[in-house]
Amino acid sequence: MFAWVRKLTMRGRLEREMRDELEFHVQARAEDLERAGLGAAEARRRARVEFGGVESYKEALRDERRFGLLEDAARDLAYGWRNLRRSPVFTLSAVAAIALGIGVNTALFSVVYGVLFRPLPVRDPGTVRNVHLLTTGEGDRSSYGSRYFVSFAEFQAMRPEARTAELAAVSEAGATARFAPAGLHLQLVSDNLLPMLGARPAAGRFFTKEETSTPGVGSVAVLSYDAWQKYFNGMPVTGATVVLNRTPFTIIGVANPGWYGPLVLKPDLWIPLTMQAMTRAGEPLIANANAAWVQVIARRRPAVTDAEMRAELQVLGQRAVTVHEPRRKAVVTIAPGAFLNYPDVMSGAVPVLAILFLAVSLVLVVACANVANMLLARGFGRSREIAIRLSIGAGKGRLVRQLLTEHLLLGALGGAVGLGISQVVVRLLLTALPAIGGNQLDVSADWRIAGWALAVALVAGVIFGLPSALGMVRGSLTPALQAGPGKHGRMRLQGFLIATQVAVSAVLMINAGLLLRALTTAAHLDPGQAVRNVLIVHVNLRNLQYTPEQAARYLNELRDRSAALPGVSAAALTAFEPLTDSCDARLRPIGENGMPGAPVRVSCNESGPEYFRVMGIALRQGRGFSVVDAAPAAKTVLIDESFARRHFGGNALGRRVRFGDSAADDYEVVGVVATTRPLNFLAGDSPQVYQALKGLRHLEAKLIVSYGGAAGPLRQAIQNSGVALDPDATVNVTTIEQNVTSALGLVRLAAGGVAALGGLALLLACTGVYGVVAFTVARRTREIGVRMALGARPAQVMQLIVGQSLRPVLVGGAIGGVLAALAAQLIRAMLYGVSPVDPLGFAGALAVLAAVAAIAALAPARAALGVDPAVTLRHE
Amino acid sequence: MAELLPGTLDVLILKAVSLGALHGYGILLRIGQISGGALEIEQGALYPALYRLEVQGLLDAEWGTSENNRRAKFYTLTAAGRKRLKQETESWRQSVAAMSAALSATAGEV
Repeated sequence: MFAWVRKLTMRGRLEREMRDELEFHVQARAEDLERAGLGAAEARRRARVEFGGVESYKEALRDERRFGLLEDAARDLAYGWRNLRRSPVFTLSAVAAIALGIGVNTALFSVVYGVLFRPLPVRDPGTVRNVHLLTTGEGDRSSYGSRYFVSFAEFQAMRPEARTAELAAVSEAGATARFAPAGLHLQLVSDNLLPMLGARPAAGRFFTKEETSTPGVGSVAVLSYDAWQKYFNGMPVTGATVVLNRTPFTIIGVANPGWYGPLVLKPDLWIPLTMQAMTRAGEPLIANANAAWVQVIARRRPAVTDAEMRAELQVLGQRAVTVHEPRRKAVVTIAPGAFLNYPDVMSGAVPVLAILFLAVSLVLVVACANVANMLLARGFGRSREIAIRLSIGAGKGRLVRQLLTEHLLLGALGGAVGLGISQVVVRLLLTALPAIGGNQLDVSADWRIAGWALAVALVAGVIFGLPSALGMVRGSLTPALQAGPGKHGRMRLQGFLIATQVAVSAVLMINAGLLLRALTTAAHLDPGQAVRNVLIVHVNLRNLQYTPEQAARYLNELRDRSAALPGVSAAALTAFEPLTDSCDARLRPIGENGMPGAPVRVSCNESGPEYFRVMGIALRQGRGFSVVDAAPAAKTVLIDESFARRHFGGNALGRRVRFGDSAADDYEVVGVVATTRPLNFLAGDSPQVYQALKGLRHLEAKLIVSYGGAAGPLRQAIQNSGVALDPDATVNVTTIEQNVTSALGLVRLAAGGVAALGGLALLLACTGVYGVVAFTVARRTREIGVRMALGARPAQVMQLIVGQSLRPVLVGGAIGGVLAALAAQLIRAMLYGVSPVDPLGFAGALAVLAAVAAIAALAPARAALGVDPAVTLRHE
Repeated sequence: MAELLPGTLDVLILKAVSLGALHGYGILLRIGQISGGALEIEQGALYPALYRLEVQGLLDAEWGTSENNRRAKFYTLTAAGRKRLKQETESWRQSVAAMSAALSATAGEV
């Protein structure tokens, strides 16, 4: 170690000695030559020429000296770095290609990691765990948010018993308050959640156990620091009363700045879990031991393992469930604390993520093939250097190692730049996505993201470097370097790499083409229902603490007032948002013999009178809903033509369908309407059935209004009517055009994303084509000269060069076409009936590909025409 | 003049230095001399090899004065270098013997 330090500090002296030693050599040689009869000046010149490139030997010497006692690896690294510096154009373009490939890859990883795996932004996140409880078996259990949540009763039973961990609870809800016209976001918590996760009061205090133990008790609230600044300007606020959802709360404290709790959305206020009822009027989940709505977050105690913690919670979880539902079996699992670390989120995300990762990996593949090609071309220029290194005793293995080090260095540089690119891409992505207001999603690079980028970079480095490293060494061992058989193999390899790049680009481009075709198709699709000139009115009736009866009265009144407004043609109530939302049900058609048939999966909605008029859905048989169908005892249903045809032979009026298990759940078909097509491809194409809007559903029902003329004044008039009916109401009017956009949003996003990646891949592939053609021209200058001297016309020369270079492009395009058709099967659902081998989508994408590739090939090939036969024949 | 076989430069240097301390140019001359002028070494390639051997502890180097009174770096063999030279010489002899036997074989002997 000491010797090494000394060596470095003595570097200046060593440089001097090195120069002296080589200088001595040249002088001694010159003197010998002089003695042999040469003039002094000539002798000196000869001595220098004989010695060769002093500087390059000095470099080699420096390597030997500088790292004399260090490992070979360090020497290889320095050697590689020097080589890369020596050809900056190559290095820059290679690093750029790799950085782009790694950039998009790491960007995707950053988002996925930020949502699913990143440790929570709370104190000591290493011992925070998400607790999942899944129950199976007989009995009625409903879940709100995730199937892995627990009920309030279960949480209360488990918490005091747990020895291995401290259990805390959290849930979220929206709220209405006069001081916040845009609405508030609440987190409902157990008393220990804030202190357990490291929150400190910036003012006042946090909750006590008494305030969060009894349902309905605990009308106190803690403000987030941001909300305190925003709504109260940071004025003293503890002891003040705020009214949330028409319920008075006393503010007892403010959390410290920058602390937002364990969920991805930032809350404005925290309130006790026991106040759940007022966040969901009409459906107090807190009183229902079978309603799973509480998310359990735990702090593992010191000296406890995850296995011990899970084992204890399993016993406690089963016991808590058994109390109220002895037939159900509970399974408890735990996972490191992260925003959405829930099995159902994971299983939902995996297929989508797989496609996304496939797409970004394809770009990386193209980048790797591109750089591999550059390295192959560069290999020609370096064969002499390799030959020298071999002749002065470098082993073959060592040489491969050296080249590999150089490639890994290249990869690491690309990774570092790529990491920077990914940060930019992620930020662009997050701003392009529909605003997820007030989230605390953290996508900045930490060591795991950097590690990911580096790991991908090194793997890429090995992959793109191996062919050229092996090829170079194999080629260099044959003495006749220029005419060796290695050259042919190398040409083939280059062709193969070009074909790969083109094929991958084709897969991405074609799929982007198909998605664009799908978008235009969907825009002109006749969905069989209104896609314009309908307003949708949302009122926060639950937050206003309405009973279902009050809600029905309010909405019916608002409907009648709206229908009387000028320009309005019809108004109706609906439980689900048109075009974007619906419910799913399974029902059995009852046969003419009174026997129920096989269950049919249907898409459902609940709506009031006039719904079909507002939505422009034609009534084919029977009648639409009227006031009588809203009566609790009325059991009527409308079905669409596809259902009527398939299960009732087209004659459905008066027939029955069974929603549940017994004849008590039978509904009579009173009308048949035209079949509609869902715009949202996720909805599938199940038949549609309609029930009458009743009771509880009024709390979440919307008013829809069809109109002619201008929307603006009408919106304002409806809003005014809504507020006139209740001054506390927040009346939000949207348009059905917005729903059309959001129904197609995922497809638009996919088309944009795939097109962007495809463009990137195409750009890389074209630089590859350009490079290979330019290289071919340079290498065959002499041949071209001979041909032209013998009378070949420019067109023939062009044909020769371009024809040969474009062969791998054609092969790649053909293979890419086949692969694209296979890949299109994956996104078939998004294609809106456009065939996965749609000729327009294919032809368009391939035409773009061919045009760009031809330009990339022709531009450098034109250089061949500038070849002067006289000059080239004198060449060498 | 014969081309130098890969990997043989090191052992030639060790041999040259084993006959007495030498500077780099002297090593070049001596290799020419002891090989009867048959082996020629690319001049610049000599120095990386010298430094490598020094780092490996097979050679010692010291600055001294040359025959015409100039400062020059002189190389001597270390004990490890002497041992390595012995091993390399032995294995070289064996492979030469094997090669000659193989190449001088005639039809009758097979």
